[in-house]
Amino acid sequence: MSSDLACLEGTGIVQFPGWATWLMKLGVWVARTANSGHLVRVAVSVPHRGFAAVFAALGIAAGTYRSSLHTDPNDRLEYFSSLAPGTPVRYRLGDSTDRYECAEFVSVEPVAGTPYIRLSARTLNYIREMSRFRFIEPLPSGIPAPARSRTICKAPSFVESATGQDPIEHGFSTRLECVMIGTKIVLESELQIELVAGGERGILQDLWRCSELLNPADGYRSRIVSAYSEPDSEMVDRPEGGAVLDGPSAIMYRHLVSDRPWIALIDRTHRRAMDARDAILVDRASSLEDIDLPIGYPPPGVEALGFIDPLP
Amino acid sequence: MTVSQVDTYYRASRRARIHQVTVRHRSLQDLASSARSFYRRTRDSELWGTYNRLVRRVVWDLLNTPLPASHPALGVEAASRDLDRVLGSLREVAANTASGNAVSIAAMVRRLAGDNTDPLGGRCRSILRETGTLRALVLVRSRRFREPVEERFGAAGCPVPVVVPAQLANLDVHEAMVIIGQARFYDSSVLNAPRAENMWVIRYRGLRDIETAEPLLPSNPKRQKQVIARNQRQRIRPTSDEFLAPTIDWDALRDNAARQEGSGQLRTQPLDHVESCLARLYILAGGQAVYLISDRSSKILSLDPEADTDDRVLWVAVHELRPGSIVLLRREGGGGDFIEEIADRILGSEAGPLRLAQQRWKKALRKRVYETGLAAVEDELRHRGSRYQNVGYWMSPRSIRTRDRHDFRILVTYLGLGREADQLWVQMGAIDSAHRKAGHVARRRLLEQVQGVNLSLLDRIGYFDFHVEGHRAGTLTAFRIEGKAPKSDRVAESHLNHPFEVGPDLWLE
Repeated sequence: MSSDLACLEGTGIVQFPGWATWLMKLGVWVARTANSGHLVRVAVSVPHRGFAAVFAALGIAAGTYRSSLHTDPNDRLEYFSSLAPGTPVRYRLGDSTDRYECAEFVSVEPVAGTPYIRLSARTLNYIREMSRFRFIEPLPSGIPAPARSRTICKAPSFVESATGQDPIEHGFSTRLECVMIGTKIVLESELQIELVAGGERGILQDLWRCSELLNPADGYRSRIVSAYSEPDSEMVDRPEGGAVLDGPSAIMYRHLVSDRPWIALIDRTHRRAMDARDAILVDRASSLEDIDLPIGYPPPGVEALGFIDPLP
Repeated sequence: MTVSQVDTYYRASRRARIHQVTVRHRSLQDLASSARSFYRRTRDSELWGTYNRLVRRVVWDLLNTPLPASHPALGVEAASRDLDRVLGSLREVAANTASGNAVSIAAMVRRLAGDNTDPLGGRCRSILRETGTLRALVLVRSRRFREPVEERFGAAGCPVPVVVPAQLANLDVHEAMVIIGQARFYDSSVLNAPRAENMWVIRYRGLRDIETAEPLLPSNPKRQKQVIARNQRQRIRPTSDEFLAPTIDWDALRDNAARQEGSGQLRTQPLDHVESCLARLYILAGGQAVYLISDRSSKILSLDPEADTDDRVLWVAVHELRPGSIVLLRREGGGGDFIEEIADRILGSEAGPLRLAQQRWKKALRKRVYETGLAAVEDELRHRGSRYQNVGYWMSPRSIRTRDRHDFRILVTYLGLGREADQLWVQMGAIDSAHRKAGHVARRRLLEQVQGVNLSLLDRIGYFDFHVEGHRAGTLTAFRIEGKAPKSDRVAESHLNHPFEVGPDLWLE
């Protein structure tokens, strides 16, 4: 994340407080351990739950991010050849537009030795050179394709300034990097906070790209799961970077992400804070060992306990 | 809420200063000391159980409330009369040294009943005046004293909000907070998630207390050493003091419940194994208690103010309830299971015969369990090919039929009702369906009600009434659970879900 990323509040630009940057750093570090030889668990207690989960989750998303576009021509050919005819896809045609369109994939066809892709959309049936389809991927199953083209990224300049990434690439593809389990309505509202980076304005959701706040056909990078509607493993769906469990109710569902790293947040004033603490300590008792967090001491008001579990 | 606003909580954690203040009250300190010695000598004697409970309660209230002992809210005069009564009844059986000490303690309480001095309140007000801030709070442990303290402080020219611990989570950070009584008896979050940058803990001299906040999470051992080395600070870990600790005397509460049967607050029912079930006693805010069934399958309507809007009213497993949970119960019409009443309304004229059919197989099952034992019944059902043997739950009034039809047939055949198996299955299906509808209806109506309610009242007062229109459920009360009995009791089914008053002499918050 850019160092000049800051909040935009009524009074003007407000630098991220120490606890917010520490939680983001924690998220980045946890995500980067996701493919190590063990599973990292970090319990964090805070004096107030506000924004702690979204900042930790933003860190996880940032620490996980990598382009999922197929850039190698051979990879691309193999990828498209594996798609079944009739697969709904979304794609961006050309480099000048910030919108995507939807169509049905028909086939990969060689034309004069060069692979071309044939798509069909309502009345149109067209073929384009494969190299022009840098941005193309199947729509999630069961999602109706929008009739009109849609914006890929609402605040591209902001995303670029904040993340240093290509905003179209960031916004186009779907890859589940992080899941937050908690009170959905609260987390969704926290993703609406205004931010500023490099003089460009945006909201936290522009960076985190939570599927619940996007059109079903849009590319997303993260998901919020309510801790109150009996979530199952399908809803949580193995986030690549890890999960954030916001509060005691969410912590009770940590078994759903037992094969991913997680950060559990406990508001110390919550009436079930001790239950959540006890649940964490039970896990810790059967873990491999405690670990020091290589991101510096927690800031005042924050308590953290890290330990590692073996891979399942 | 903005990030800057949230940051105030972290800033308070960084800046919070805890000031320990002690005050003197010779008579009260003498009473506490004598009562503690007496308690240590007699705590194992059943004879002195009621006496000790009354004294502990008086001492606890006096040590933790910024009101003069003569204030009617403390009820010291009434407690003094109760003590005299108890001593009167013990005079003949306990004519020994202990009795003499007990009489002198009762005399101390009697004298305090007329005592107008108020060291805790006085010191608290002087601190508030010295700070000169309007953004101040007073924290008291018990909801019972929140209003009287607020009124007295207002009358003394020191208007200040008085709060209880459950309110702290949703409070803004203030400049000053005065905590009444020993901090060790508050939740650790009072100190480790401070809601004020300056906190004064006022207690009576001679009472030990903690000096720093206990962390919620243990540190890694390496780090813990570093922190201690850095701060050069030693935490004081006070020894546990059974006399002062605000424990709940569950046995006394059970006796109280039994006494209230006679007064008609609880419906009296013959307590045999056919009509009874295992239930756990819960203390509710507002001086009430309730028995809730303690099998692992039963659910109850609960309220979770932090949940998503559509999930705020939810069915939770009764065994998951704990202090801080909020349950919805009916007080009107003597309480009871309102879902059953709504279901019966849905069933209309069929309700009577269907309920009789339900009672028939349940009574037969309970009788069989009573005669042969639970394990034998389960063995027999397993032997007969039943896939599940959840007999404990099937006996409970909350169970309508087994989940599996095959199991139901085996069960009722074993109970001698085999000829009616199919008919009973259909009848129980009708009840089950009506219960599900009733559950949905009640939940939906409550959700509508909850939308327009300021749920912070539940933190402040501990209970709140909801009027569920259009159904006989009438007024439901959301109660915050304050305590959960460590074990279950066998109680009459009709006692379940009936909130009842617990006497003022019981050891409660």
